[in-house]
Amino acid sequence: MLRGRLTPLLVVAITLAPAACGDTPTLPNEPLRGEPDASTGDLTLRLPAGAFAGPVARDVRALTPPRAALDGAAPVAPPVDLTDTPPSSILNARTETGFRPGFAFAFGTHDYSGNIGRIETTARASHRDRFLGSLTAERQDYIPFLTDLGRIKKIWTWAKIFTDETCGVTVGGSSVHSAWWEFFQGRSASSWGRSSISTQGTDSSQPACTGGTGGYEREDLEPGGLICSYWITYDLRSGEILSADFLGCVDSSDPKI
Amino acid sequence: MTRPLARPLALQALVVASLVVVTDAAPASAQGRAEGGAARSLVLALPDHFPAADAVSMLVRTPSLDVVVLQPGDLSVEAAAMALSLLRRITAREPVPAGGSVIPITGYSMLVPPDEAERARLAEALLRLERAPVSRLGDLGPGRWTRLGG
Repeated sequence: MLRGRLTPLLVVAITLAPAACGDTPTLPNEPLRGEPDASTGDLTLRLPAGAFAGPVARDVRALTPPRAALDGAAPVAPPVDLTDTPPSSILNARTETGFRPGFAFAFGTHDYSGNIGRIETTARASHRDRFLGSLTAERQDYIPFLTDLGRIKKIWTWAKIFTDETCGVTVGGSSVHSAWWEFFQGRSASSWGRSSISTQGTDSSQPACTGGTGGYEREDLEPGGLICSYWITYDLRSGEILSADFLGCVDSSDPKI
Repeated sequence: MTRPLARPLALQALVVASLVVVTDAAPASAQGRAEGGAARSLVLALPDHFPAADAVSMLVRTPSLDVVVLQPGDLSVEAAAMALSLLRRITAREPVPAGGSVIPITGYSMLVPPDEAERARLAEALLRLERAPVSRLGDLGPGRWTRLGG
């Protein structure tokens, strides 16, 4: 009988406890949740390492090339006499910009000789002369030296900035086009005959906005505007990056609920 | 006859009292929901060294905390309002994140400015932020922080 009458009291007590403390910050037992430490006044925020390098899309086809080649260091003489091999060359290099449903883009491409081709294309978005963001796409292709046979090859890449906006946005683009020879893969491999040029695309602009607010009065809209960001999720314990979304731009002036 | 009724009546009074306490706590929770989720804390932070070179501001989300990280060079009502607008949109889709999220904001163009009341609220919060004592912001390093909304 006593237990039957105490049970409702216990239920009430459990309900009371969190309610009474409803506006009191939860003090962290572990420093991962970010809550303020009441004793020191510190915020214990854990952030992922390498999260702020900026959004870059990389597409490297084949093994990682030697660091020296990427850093633009002076090429090392190959162990076999290949002085008859012509230097690499870059042809038809260009950058184009535009819009497709759902994204603005910069497209970079070139033809090349050399068994390694590389292109880095950057798209930059702006709205009413306000810079919104930029994203760089990189691609590198490799063919083994002995099977290249001096063929002319093509490489291309897209840098995309996702947005559903249909007015007022301008996208600009530029590319760095490179090609070189490399005898074999690996960090100690020698490279030679490097060619590199840059191209700038013509800006593309959407039609000017007419000032419409989608049928809503401004007082019915939340404050906001066109805002661009990229998104990284990470494990709070290890700091390991779990996923990353590329640059996207949204209109945050939503109708008030 | 009165005595057997006294205990149920006392129990009922206790239940009513507990409901009153729960009701008093509801406005704070409602405010928390309005600002981004039930019983979540919303904080403005100003690190001495902003970590993202390509961002103008940043959002950090954990299961219990939303942080709007501003730059010392752009401590403005507009920057705060735009960051909060993106947080509002994100929170509508995901009220409580399962893990950690970092959302660097690379740029913005304001289309609907905040009204006078909201501007005053944000201006007061930014002033409070500038005057907050320097403390550690975890991996953000030294800086200042203040709660938004109380």
